[in-house]
Amino acid sequence: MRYIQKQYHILWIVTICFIALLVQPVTSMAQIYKSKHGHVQFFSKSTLENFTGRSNYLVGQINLADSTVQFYVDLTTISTGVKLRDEHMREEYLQTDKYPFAQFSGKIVSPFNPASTDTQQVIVKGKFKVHGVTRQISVKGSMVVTPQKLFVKAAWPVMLKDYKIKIPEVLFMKVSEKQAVSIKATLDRIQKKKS
Amino acid sequence: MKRTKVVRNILIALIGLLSVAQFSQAQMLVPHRAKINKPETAIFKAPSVILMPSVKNLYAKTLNMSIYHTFGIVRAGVRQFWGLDSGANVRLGLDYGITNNLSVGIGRTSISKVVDGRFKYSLLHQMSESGSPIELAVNGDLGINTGQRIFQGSYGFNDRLGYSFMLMGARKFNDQLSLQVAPMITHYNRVNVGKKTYYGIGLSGRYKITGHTALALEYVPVFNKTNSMQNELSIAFNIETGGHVFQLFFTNAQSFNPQGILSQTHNKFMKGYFRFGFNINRIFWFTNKHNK
Repeated sequence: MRYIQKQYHILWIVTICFIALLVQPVTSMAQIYKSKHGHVQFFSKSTLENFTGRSNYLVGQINLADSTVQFYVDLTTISTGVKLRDEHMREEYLQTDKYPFAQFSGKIVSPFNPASTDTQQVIVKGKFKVHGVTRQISVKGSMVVTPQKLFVKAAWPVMLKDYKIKIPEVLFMKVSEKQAVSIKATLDRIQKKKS
Repeated sequence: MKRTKVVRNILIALIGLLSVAQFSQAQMLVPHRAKINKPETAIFKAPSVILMPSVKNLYAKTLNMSIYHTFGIVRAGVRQFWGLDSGANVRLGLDYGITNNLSVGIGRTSISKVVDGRFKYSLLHQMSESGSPIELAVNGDLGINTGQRIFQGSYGFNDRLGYSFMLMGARKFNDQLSLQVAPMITHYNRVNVGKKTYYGIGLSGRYKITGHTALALEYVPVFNKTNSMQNELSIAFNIETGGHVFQLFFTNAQSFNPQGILSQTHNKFMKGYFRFGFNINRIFWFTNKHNK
């Protein structure tokens, strides 16, 4: 009797490990979407002129199996259309030598149906890190899933003082505290590697 | 006996599950710098290293306002308050970027009342990933001595002119260090003493100490100098912020354009005959109001 019980115990453990090992990587691999050239921009209001900083080097990964959403951008790729302003932005305000990336890592917390191909409104909560400061944020966005692609759009405001970024002020021009950040990306489904 | 075995089994299972969990965590995105081939910026922060032009050109539609200022010889001592009492010389200048590769400028220096016009044209840009490893530019300067009684007897407008031309090659080796080599030629149409034409080579560099401060050095050996002439040597402490470069420096030169620096530097820096000076470079930009 005791012998049988022990057998069951080991069997149970082995089975769990086995299933976990086999099933989890396969299912998660099959639901990972990636992009290296997403678009990110910020819209800046200032007393003299409004401007937009843009980059097409937004790297993203969304895993529908565990609802994780990750994005980052190399801030030196952002261009505002004025080279000198870009230089100031990098060196004075974002300090990209020290803090090269803006990063987001979070989870989809709203109900989401991976099987639907309709546009779905989502809420993603997670950590947003820029200029060395990490904050918990909640972002509203939309996603469309197709068998091969995942389209993402999201927008949220960033208050410069929250991230200890100086407010750019040149002569009589002063940039607004609030920056409107938005992202737009098409992620490709990662094909399962053939071994 | 039985319990220890159960505990052991649970431990094994936990280790197994943990390794599985780690496997799935390996899907974390690790940020990498984007590799984009683009021209290096800030090889030098200002269009001049200290007194000599730098390879740095102005972007299109940007205006650089510069003030160069030196006092008298420091060795004059306390009676002259180490040169601050007298011998001041000032150049006020404006340079404008017509395109990203061409800029033109004008300036006026108080000593000899020299009005000068200059241009700088970028031939090659140092690229970050592939392409040219150096930045290359040419600089020309035409100075007009507008002073009175500059020569004995009669003289015309042409006699007031002095020129310089240089080819500047520079490389930013890393975020800290940039070096520049600039062979140059200068010519005056008429001189009181010495030669009309001189050849020299400008050796200069910038070393960034912190995010906003740097050291700059300028040394210009003249190949065919006369006995009374000295090579220019200047050493500066730069305070560099967004649109400003503020320099505090010591120099043995008194002129502010290359032709004057090459032919009219007579003080021996190493013997203590140098001046204290400061420069301010301020860059402004002009664009359309509606940049969407």
